[in-house]
Amino acid sequence: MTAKINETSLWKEFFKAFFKHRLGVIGLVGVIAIIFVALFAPMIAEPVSGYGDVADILKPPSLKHPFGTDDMGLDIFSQVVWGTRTSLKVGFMTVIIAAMIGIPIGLFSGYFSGLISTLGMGLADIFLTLPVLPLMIIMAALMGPDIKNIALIIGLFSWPQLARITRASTLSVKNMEYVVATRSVGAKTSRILFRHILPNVSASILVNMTIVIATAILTEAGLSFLGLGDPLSYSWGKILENAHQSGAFLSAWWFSFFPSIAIMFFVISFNFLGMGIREGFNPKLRNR
Amino acid sequence: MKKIAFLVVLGLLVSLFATSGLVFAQEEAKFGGTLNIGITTDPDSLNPFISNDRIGSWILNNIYPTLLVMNQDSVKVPYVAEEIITSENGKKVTVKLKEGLTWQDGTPFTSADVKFTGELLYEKKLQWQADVFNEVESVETPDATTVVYNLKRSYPGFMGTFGFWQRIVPKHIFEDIENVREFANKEPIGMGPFKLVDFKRGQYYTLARVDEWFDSPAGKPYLEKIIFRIYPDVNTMVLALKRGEIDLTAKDIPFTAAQELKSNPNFTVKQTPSLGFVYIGFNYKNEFLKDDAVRQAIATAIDRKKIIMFALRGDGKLINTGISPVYGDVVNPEAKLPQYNPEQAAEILSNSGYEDTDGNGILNAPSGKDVVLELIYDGNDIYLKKTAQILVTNFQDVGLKLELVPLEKSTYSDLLFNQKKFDINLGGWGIIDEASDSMYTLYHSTASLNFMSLNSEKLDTYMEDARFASNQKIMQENLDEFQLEFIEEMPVVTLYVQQYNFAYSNDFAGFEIYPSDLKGLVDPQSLSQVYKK
Repeated sequence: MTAKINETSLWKEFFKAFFKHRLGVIGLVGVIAIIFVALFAPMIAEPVSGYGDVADILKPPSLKHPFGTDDMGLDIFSQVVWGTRTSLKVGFMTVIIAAMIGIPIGLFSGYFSGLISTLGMGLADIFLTLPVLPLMIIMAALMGPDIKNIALIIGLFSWPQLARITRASTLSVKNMEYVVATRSVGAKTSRILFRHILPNVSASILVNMTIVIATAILTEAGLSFLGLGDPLSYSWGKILENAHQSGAFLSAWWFSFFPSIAIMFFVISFNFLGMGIREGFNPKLRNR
Repeated sequence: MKKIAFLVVLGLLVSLFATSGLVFAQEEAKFGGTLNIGITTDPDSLNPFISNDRIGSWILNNIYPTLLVMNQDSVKVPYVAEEIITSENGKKVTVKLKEGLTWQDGTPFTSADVKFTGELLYEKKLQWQADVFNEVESVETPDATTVVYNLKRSYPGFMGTFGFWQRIVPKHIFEDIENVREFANKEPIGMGPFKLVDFKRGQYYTLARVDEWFDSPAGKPYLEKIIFRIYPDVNTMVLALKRGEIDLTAKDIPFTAAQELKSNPNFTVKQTPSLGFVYIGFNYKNEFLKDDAVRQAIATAIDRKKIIMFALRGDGKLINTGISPVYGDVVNPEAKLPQYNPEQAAEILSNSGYEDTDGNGILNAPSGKDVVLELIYDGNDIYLKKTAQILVTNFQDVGLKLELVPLEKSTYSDLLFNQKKFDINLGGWGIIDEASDSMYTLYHSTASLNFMSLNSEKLDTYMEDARFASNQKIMQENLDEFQLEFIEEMPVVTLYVQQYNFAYSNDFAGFEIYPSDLKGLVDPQSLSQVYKK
């Protein structure tokens, strides 16, 4: 019973602090807006594919095409709206993959010392020192350009930072009295790790996950820009790549401007949200 | 008001002077001046035997001559050869050389050089064109300006291939070289309107004019010097052109740049068609594509005009048979690919038992399977990317599903040429000349480039008979039949012939444009006439 009360007041405190943090709130609103656009894309804009009208090639923004048209005569507004789905998909899939690998490795190598710790962190270090971009390019080329593959590839290279954060937090928590107490009662290691330690380190993990999502979008845009994106789905990076390849980067400013703004908005929103969450969870920062 | 009137008058005066200046400048072609030409990488080699890329051809063809060159109508005509005489049975080809030509070191140019070049080419298999010598029985040089090739059988593609592609080298220099393949040829002694005087890899190649050249109107080229300058990419090259660092681009420029330069009074933009074409090829090993109806339906479903509009922004020509319209006379006007007609395409499919039985929007073959096909192509090629995007819609409109598989170029080539693992490929041939020969190398059932696994007895016969026809007439008759049957068979759908854009500064005049990006404005026939205004 007491635990329950404690939990609610904890969340209350969190929200109180979170909503005091202006940037965090802006981030939250931004993220909600992004999710909204992604969910209701079919209601906001007609999906585009193939090619449009010859008369519509590279037309500047107008009432009919608020973001202008591209060199295939297609509406850029609709591409940006539908691109939100692609970006969110990539972001969430990446973070799930990264979390599934990074969090357990972080927990185990933080909780246990010795070989497991060395192995886990060694692996993370190796992944951190790898030349990520060339490797991603090779993998994307080998596995074929598909949104799922792209997310998988980015996820496979994003887990080390999550693992490190998890481990660092686990290290500071594992010797606290309540953990020692649980252990002395004879609880199973997995129960200690996932029921008792994980909830207590989740704050910093959560913050880091928002950063992983933001980075994933940038990476996806980068890969798409290099021509390794999914050829048939519209992502923001893909629009940028099309703009670049059309040779109309300078003359048709709207072609690259709007997807760039979308990427910026996405990255900033998630970063601000992360800052807000950290503010909310961190009692030291809270009492300023 | 007065001020405006004054400005208008001033403007009129200025433009008057400008135009009259142009007229005068065009009239007096004078000697002197340096022409700077933009390229994007070094030639693969300065060895005229080894070089096999466009850049090598741009530079080396101004230094080493070929027996034949292509004129502006894509017809091969004598260059350092005076005339080519083929005997009635087609088995004896006599080359008469121009008199009085000398190599750049003063040694006379003779039939021995031509004979030697062919022998060395064949013996060491230095280039792909060495293969045509398989049909040569013996070579004679009755006098200093005559070479006679005795062929095993009539082979109309022989001289067109050897004469056009093989740069002739001086025997007295190359006979002393032990390993021709390794020979760097840093101080080339050739025979052309220009000679190489200086170069620095990665930076520039400087050519100076010779004192006598038969193809120049004034007996020698007007230009003092030509400098090929290397830029890291096309966009930088175009910027350099605009800044006046270079006066001409040897490499073609993107259509956006072409459009911009067209409206700039300081530049002229010229267009020339590719000598190749872009196509989609069907793998006959695929269960759906081996059905004639599917191939015909696909050909009818493709909106080739839209592809040219979108992918090439209009800079393309329609191609109606297997042979490019660039070779006007060789094309059979009666052979025509089906017009874009999605309804008719759908009808062809439904008549052959293709129906969407499971209601998923994709037609089911008589076997019950969904007709899903994969399209492989080089994902870095912007034109192919856009073409692929349009194809997906075209396929979808008739109920076929096309999945795009953009690949890295080497993976694409491996899948296509080595593994032959693909459904449909989207690709292009850079240069297809000598139709009688090239159709055979592309589509004959035994040809190594026939990755479609096409095996048509009729087509095979036409190709064989055209390839070894004893005269032009028989060759053309077979090619005509071949083209008609090709449309019936539809092993590939030819999509378009790209038009290349080249730009030059109006400080210079006298340019002539020759077919394809292999020649463009830097063909020796063009550069030997260019002058600075």
